[in-house]
Amino acid sequence: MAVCIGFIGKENSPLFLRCINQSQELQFHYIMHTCIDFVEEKIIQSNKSGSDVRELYLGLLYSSEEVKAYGFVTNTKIKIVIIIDSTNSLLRDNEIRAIFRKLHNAYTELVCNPFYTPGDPITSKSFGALVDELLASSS
Amino acid sequence: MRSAVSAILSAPAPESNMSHPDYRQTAHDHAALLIMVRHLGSKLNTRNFSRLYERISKQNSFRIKDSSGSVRTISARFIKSYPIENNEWGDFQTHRRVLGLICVGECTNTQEVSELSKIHESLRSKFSGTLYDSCCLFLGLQHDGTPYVTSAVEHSPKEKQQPVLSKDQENSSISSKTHSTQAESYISPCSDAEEPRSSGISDHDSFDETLTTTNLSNITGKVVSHPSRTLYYPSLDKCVTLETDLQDFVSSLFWVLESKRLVSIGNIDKEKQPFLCAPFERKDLIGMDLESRTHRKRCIGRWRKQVGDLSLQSGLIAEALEHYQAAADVLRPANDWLWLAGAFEGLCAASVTLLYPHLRRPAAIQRNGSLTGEGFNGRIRSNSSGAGVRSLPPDIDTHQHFLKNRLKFKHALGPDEVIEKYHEAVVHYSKYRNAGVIETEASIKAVHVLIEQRKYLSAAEFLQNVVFINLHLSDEEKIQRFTALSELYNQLGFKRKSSFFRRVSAMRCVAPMTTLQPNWTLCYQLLFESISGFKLSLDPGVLSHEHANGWPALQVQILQELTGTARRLGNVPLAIRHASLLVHLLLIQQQQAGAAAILSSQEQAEMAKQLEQLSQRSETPLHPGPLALENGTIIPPVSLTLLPKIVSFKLQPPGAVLAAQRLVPEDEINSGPFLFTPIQFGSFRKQPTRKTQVEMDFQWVEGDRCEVIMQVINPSAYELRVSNMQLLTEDVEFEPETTSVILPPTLDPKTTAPTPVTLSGIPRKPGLLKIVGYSMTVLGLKNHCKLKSAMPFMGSSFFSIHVVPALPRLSVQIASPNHNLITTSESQSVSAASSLQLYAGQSTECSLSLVNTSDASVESFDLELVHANRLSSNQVFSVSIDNLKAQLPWQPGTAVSVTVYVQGASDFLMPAMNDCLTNVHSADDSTSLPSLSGPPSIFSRLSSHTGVTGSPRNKAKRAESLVSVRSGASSVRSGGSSNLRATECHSNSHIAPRTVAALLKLQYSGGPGYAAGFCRSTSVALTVEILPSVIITKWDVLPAETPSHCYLVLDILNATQYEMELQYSSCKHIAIEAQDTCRIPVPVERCPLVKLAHVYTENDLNPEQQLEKIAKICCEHISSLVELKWSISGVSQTSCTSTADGTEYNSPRPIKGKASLSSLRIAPSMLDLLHIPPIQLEIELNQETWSAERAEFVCSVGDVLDVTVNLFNALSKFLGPLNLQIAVYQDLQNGTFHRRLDTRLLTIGSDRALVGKMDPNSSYKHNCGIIFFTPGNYKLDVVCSLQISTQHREAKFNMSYDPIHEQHIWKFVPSVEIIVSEP
Repeated sequence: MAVCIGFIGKENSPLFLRCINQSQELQFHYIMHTCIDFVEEKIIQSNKSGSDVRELYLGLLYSSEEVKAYGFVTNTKIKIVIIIDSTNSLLRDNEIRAIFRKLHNAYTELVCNPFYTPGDPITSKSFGALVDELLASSS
Repeated sequence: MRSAVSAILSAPAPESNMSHPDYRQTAHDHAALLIMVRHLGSKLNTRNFSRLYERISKQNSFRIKDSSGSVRTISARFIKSYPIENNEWGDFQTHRRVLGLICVGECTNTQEVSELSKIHESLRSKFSGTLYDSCCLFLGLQHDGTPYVTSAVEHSPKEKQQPVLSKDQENSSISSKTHSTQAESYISPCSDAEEPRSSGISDHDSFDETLTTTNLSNITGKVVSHPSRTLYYPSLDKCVTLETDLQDFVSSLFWVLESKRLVSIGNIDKEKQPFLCAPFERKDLIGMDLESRTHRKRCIGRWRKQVGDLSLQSGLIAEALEHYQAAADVLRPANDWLWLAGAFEGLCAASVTLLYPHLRRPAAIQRNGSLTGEGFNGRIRSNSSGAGVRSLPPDIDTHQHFLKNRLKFKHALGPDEVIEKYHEAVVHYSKYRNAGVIETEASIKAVHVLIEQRKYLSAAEFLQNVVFINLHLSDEEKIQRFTALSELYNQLGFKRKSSFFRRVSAMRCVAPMTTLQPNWTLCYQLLFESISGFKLSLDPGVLSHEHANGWPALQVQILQELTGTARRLGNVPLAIRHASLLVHLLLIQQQQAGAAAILSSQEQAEMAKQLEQLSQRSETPLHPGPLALENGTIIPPVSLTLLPKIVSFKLQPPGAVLAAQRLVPEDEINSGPFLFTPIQFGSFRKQPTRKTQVEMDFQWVEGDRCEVIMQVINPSAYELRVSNMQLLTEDVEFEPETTSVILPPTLDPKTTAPTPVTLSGIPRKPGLLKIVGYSMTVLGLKNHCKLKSAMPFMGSSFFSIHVVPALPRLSVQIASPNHNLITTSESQSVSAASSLQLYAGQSTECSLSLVNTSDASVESFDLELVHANRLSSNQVFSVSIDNLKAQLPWQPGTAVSVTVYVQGASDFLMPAMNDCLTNVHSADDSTSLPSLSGPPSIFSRLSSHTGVTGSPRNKAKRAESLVSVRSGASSVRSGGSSNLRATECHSNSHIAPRTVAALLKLQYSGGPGYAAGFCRSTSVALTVEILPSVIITKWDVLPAETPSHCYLVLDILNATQYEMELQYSSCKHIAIEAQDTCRIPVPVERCPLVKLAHVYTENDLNPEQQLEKIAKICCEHISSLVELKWSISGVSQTSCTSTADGTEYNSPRPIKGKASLSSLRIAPSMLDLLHIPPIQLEIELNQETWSAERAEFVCSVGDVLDVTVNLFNALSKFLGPLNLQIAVYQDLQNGTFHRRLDTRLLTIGSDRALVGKMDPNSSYKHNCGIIFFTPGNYKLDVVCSLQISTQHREAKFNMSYDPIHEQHIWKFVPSVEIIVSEP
């Protein structure tokens, strides 16, 4: 059960954050924020390994009793983080990868919009609707 | 005292679980001897103790020769306090035992010494179970001069109680004694035998005596007692022997340890070892089958493990590794997971000691000290050292190191194995609830190793595990735990995680559910430390640059928490600081394009309101400078530079009237000989400064009010009251004035127009003034806004402007007698302006009054008349200031006046006609037609042969004589009349008033500014509208009755709306109706030849120039003779009078004026009439000299009239060729001349003569005769014309053919009238 989806910019500024329960938003902000540490470390690690084909999916970043956070980083260093409920055992790695792919595609489409400046917070309504849909479907 | 001590000792015993994780422990600590250093008594202050402690803890590695002679490296770990519960785990891991105790105190007499010794004893007894040795260290006593101090303390080592160890103990004491003598320090082994056990002193850590005893008995089977010694030092600085004493102390510990190790090794092979167990395992012993095989194995395994521990501590790593390995091999099949994990950990610790001998110990976090400011600072330092971890040499070195070790130590683990074993150990520990602390510490040790290996992700995993370890901790310890976690994450480089935990621990401090009192100070400190991880800076300047990458929601949250905490702390200024930063941050976020607002505008308004309330609460107005906290942290000032937002900031030049100018223009030195040069002189100095500052190209004047205009926008949705706005300046004394402004809320940021705010002030000293910003009070807060931060787009941190020394000020007023025309204005460039209305020819005067309104006297004054449009205004205005200059200097308050004379100058010609004439005239020149006159001439064309022309219109009354002359003329051109009428109609519609403007520039200076080369200039604009009065529409010259005179005939137009009286000669008046034209003949004396002679005699003049010169001279001649005085009496404006005699203010006075003829253009044909010709003609009729006075000559038909013409050249130069012509005609008195008189007369001889050349003063005579056939009135003309020279003639010939090429035509005037009568 994905509870929150977030996009983080190249310089680690928040681009977009959407969660099911608005009251938890600040908490998710904190989780996402701390996840950046892991993401950065993982990126450094993968750079060191020097493989050409980089795995975009970063896997589990953080887990606590309540939530688990999975990360994904695009080639342009845009980070996507999905936070899911720890009690949910339905979502396997493959499902999460699929969600990431969809989110990545959505982001690609967003960047294709000439009126969107990369790096700005995302305000697109259609993008928001898409993320909402994913949140709703995966829960 | 005793009762007090017992009371403390009887305090409830804590749970036996070890609940004090030591977050600073590293793997190296496994090999260290734990020595507690305690602070005794109150005399020794904390600072000195800390110094001493630092000095002691520096000595953490000792080289000691063992019994076999080889050198062992023993490390020691010094701590300030140690919980007794942890001490109890000493069986499980021997490095947890406190082996040594050093008490530090200061005393001046023996009484104090004994008191402190008592405390020492009590402490010693507390840890007596594990202590091998202890010593007292007293400052303030001479170590050689205080023998009786030693007597106060009995020293009787209880060696008999240690029969097993006696030999070693003796060894140690002997060695220590020898050392002591060498070191010349007084060491006295001191025993606690005489002191009762119960006499302890208060300690933070309580203990369970009985438990300790049992514990001890488990180790050795007997209560271990040990020697105690006392060291005396005069003072902290004089304890030179401290290090050697310490060496002695540690070596004494070592010998005990070594003996224990040897005993333990001896026990391995024995049948029965004591069963070692961790504190929590003890209760499980009951009911356990002590004889089982498993138990036996456990006993052996555990024992070996402990031997390993002891070996490691006593510096025998290889042996330790071997023992650990053996222990692990025994314990694993026995399923003794706790001790197996212990063995693994020992293995790891030993390996790490080999692999990373310099594994950095994180800078000391003082367990309790972290609550003080001192600890706070210490932690900041540790941050930097933590960051330094990353820059350690790579693991390649380690690996090589490892391979080398592998040969020596076959059981040593590789880097990856270490982690693997740690992991396994942690897994095993996690099986025991009570081993949480051990698990935590093991994890942290693993983290340290992983940091060394730069495997941060794995380290993070271990840390993550630590978070989940469930420990029963007090709230305070929980805070410590989070703080420690934060610290470790920081070392990993996980700043965000670190900040997160720091914030969590901060929130713990004040969480409502805790049993603790909310600790706001600590909470604030922790929060404060966490801000860096949120990319938040308390410096707004840094914030605006870097905040883009931070998380706005979290930043807002942390700032809110900081504000709240500061407020709870009662530190209102601090709260205000944070709250204002919050408001500022929100505004920055609002500025970000498209940024979704974290808070709604309503919430923002609330924040602002909260800030305002806070600022009202603060009793003293908050100083806008940096704020220093008690712990020395400096909170940078927050200026609400965005509230309101500055759009532009412009220095205003003083009004042109008040502006200072240089008396001598600048740049003349720099410019060099070239008009333009790419080389800039002095460019080296100028260029770098230009980048940082904006220098104004104008100056301000000391003592004068100066202004800066700012454009501001209220970015918020609430009303903003900005008060006390004033400029911030540097370098020059400046007296700013305050302004206030209320900005309405901004609802739509796109449509809001900026509000201008004027900041003003008075510079009080000359010099280069720097304007660095402005200050204001907004939301109740005083802000100092620097331009650098308020207007980063400006690119400079300040404006600089020169302030010149004070200059005087003159107020200028202009008053003219016609006060209705005065206007004074304070416009930008002109201090006063005046406009007048004058009729052409009228004159008046204006008075300019100057008052020195300043405090300085005017020392220099100059006045210049600048003509705005035409040179002609030169004739209009005139002024003289010579008498004014004589009055200088003008003291303050002096009033002076300047008179400006205004003349209604005009050429009195029809404007259009004037142009027309010029055209025609130029045409004249080109064709060299001397006889043509322009349209203004009354008679449009003059025949060269006819002297008189007729006028079709009514003539002036006084012109009868002329008319009579004309009556004899034979022909008058018929078309003249109609032409004249046409031009008149044309002219009436085109007379427009002419405006002449001039600027009176006043330049003045005085006071210090004058000395510095500055002055002020002001201008007075004068505008005169010149109305047409008399206009000469046409003019001509007619011959008079005598050759010495001629008539100037003028058509005068009264262009005014009133009847005009014109006086054109001394006794001749004429009244002209408004808009009416009159023709007046003005008798003029012909210009005498004397004035002209030089023109003719000059050789190098061509004919055109000659004509021009003659015309000019004639014109001057006329204007000197003729003056047209006019006066208008019927003017309705009563006050518009020109002459002020002071008596008749109310009655209309006539306006009087003079018209001059100086601008008349005189056609060449008129010229010959106007001046007396150089060739004088004399006519003799019938040998009778004819004079002009005679009316007529009578002769009869058939008679021969003998005409003799004498020419005389009056010049001193030859003239010629001359063409003399004698012509007879009949004037029909109707404008026509009848010249074809072939049937009526006959000329005898030649009526023409060509004189080639006439020498100066020579004469020529021509003679001819005329016979009249019919009677009648005839007229005789004698015309002498000067012919143009041949080459000129040819040149002109090609252009336009004209038979007449005479340059000058001189006629004998008046024409001779001949009456032929019947015989």
